[in-house]
Parts: sequence; C-alpha cells; structure tokens
Amino acid sequence: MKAYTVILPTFFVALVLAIFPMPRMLDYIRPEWVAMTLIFWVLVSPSKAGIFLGFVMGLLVDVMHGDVLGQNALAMSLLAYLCMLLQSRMRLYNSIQQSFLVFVLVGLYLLVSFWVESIVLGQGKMALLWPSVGSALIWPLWYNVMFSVRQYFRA
Amino acid sequence: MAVFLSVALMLADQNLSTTVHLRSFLGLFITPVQLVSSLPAQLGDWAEGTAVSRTTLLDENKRLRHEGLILKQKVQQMVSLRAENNRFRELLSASEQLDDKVLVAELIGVDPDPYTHHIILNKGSEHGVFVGQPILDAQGLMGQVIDVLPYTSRVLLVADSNHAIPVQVNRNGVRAIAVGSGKLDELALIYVPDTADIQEGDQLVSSGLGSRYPKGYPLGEITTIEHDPGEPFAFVKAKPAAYLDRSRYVLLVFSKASELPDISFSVEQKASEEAE
Repeated sequence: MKAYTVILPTFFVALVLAIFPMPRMLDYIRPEWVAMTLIFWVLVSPSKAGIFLGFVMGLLVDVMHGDVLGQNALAMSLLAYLCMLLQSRMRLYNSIQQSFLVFVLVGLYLLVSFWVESIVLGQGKMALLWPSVGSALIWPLWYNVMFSVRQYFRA
Repeated sequence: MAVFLSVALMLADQNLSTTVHLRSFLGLFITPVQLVSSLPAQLGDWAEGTAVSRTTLLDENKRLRHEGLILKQKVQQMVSLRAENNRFRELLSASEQLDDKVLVAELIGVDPDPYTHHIILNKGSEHGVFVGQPILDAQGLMGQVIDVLPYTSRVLLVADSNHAIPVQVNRNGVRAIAVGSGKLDELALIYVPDTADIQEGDQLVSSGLGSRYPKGYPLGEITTIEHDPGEPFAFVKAKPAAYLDRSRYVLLVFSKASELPDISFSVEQKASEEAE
C-alpha cells in the first residue's frame, strides 16, 4: 500500500507534464510521459504496477484528452502487458538499449491508440513517430529521475 | 480482461449516455492536473499585476473610468433604442428579440495535440455549461463546447478542421458555410458559387441557421477570393475576428432557448437597473 503513495503522485506529475503548455514546435515531439511512467513502474516493481494500473491511468488520459473512453485505457493495458513480458530482459539492458525498446513500446502504444481513434472518428489525427522519438530521447533522464525518487522514498 | 473492459467501455461511450457520469467522476481527478498545469501562466499574470507601478495603475484607472462613462452613456441610449426597436418589431408583428445572457470564463489550458485546436476553460457543468454552447471573446465567435467536466470544459475552436459554422455576409445577407482550415488565422468558405456577391473585406456574421450559434455575432472578415474557371466553386478565405490564440477571458453564451443558471450575469438587467 505504501508504494502507491509514491506511484500515484509520480503519475500526477506525468499527467501534468502531458498537458503542460509548450512551444508549438516541441509539441510535435512531446514525450508520452504517462506511458513512460507506466513502463518505469512495471520495470522496477512488477508486483505493484501492472495491467490494472495501466487501465486506470489510460482512463484518466482519455478524460483529459477528451478521447472516447477506453481508447488509451486499452492501449495502456496492452503496454503494461508487453512490459511485463519484457521486464526481466529489459532490466539487464544498458540505457541506450532501453531507450530503443521504449521507442518501440511507445510506438506500439500510439499505434493501438491510433487504430482505435481511426475506427471511432473515421480518421486518426495524431502523429506516431515523433512522440516515440521524444520519449526514447528523454527516457534515460526520466528513468534516473524516477529511480532516485523511488530510492528516496524507499517505495 | 482489461481489453474486454476497454472495448466494452468504448462501445458504451459511443452508444449510451450513462458514461457521462463516469466521465465526470474521472474528471474530478483530472481537474487538479489541469489547474496545476495552468499555474505558471496564472503566476505570471499575478506577478504582472503586482509588479505594475502606481502611476500606471492610476493612468489605467482613469482611462477605464472614462471608458466606463462612455459605455454607460451608450447603454442609456440603448435602453430607449431597444424599446423603440421592440415597438417597431411589434408593428411588424415580429417576435421580440431578447439579449443573450453570458458567463465569463477563463482559459486554463490549450490541448497539446498539435493537430487539433481545443482549449480548456475553468467553468464546467457545475456552472451550467452544456455541450454545444457557443463561446465568444470580445471580438467575435471563438467556438463551441464539446466536452463538459464538473469544473472544466473543452472548447472546439472555429479554426479546427473538424468545425463548420453557417454564416452570412453582413453587407447583403449572402449565406455560406465557414469551415476551419486547421490554421488559427484562416477559415475557408465552401460551396460559394462563382457568381455570389462576396468581396474582400466583407464582414461575416453567424446566420443562426443550424440553431447552434446565436444569430448576428461577428465571425471574421473575407481576406481573399479566387475564381478558378475549372472549379465549380470559388475559393474564399476569411480571417477570424476573435483572437483565437490570444484571448484569456471568454464569454459563454446562454441563448434564450437554453437553460439559465442563477449565477449568470445579465446585461439586460444591469441596463434596466441603471435606467431606473
């Protein structure tokens, strides 16, 4: 239970970062903060963070972006599942290899989200590639920040 | 399990109206996120307001007082003019035209998605905001509400490429449809015949057809017209009158057809109080 007093605030920060105003140009490569935070928690404590957490966070993202309910929830659940499959391998990787894997995972997350959106709206309006690149670039920094937060609170 | 749940939710959200409750419940968690993300801007505003010099404030105060006086005088004229107007309308046996009530809201966020033009306002269903409600700024029409949470709401701007609004040319009443181009400073008029009497510089106002936007609010000004003999319609571009990328305070319009909450600010009442 104590772990969640750290996990949930980090998701709050990630949600704020996800809608924080930025220059228009940077918007195109805005990292998927919530997805990255989910990957981190599944990676370091798979017993606490899993598919259900991904589902709930995805729902919050849906409401925040005004998308159809369930779009990001589905994509986040799948992301959490993939992470759980990969986590024992991913922990051994160095940060460049991890970044590459994050690029692929966030890309898949966006792809699923894009599929749902194009089914629901008849057209998808989001970019797939650039946010994944942004996420991969920021991943080593985010991983270290989150890791020291986790160490500090001993979650 | 989660996959089934998500798919079920998506179907429910598409076809049923009960997910509104779930949405507004989850919205309670999202509102603090939106408020925190708008903090730096609010802090900037506050600092600007606090650090301003005394003389500037005095100057501004004086200017505003003058402006207020001029406006008051105009309102006095308005009262008699409105009464006169109504008498004429009665003579023509037309229905009496009432003022629309408005509620002032503040912009607290812009959707980060670069492919859409949505903004977030700090008023929600608790304040009586409803889906489809028109939004104005001091210059003209801005857009309409598309999603309502308890304390915030999401607005689709007229420049979004998913938005269209029926308009009229103010000069001669020619009707057209203005769709967003995806660029904040450009609207396109579609299905305009080559022979239509539209000129550069013409003012566009909402026509009230489609009964979503109230009639007669300014939308923009025609900037360019191109006639291509090979195309069935003319290419007409317009520039929105509202400051879509600058306005911080906007007006939520309660047309007389819609429900009116107690907190809304009534221009007409103020005017009649002052006249007494």
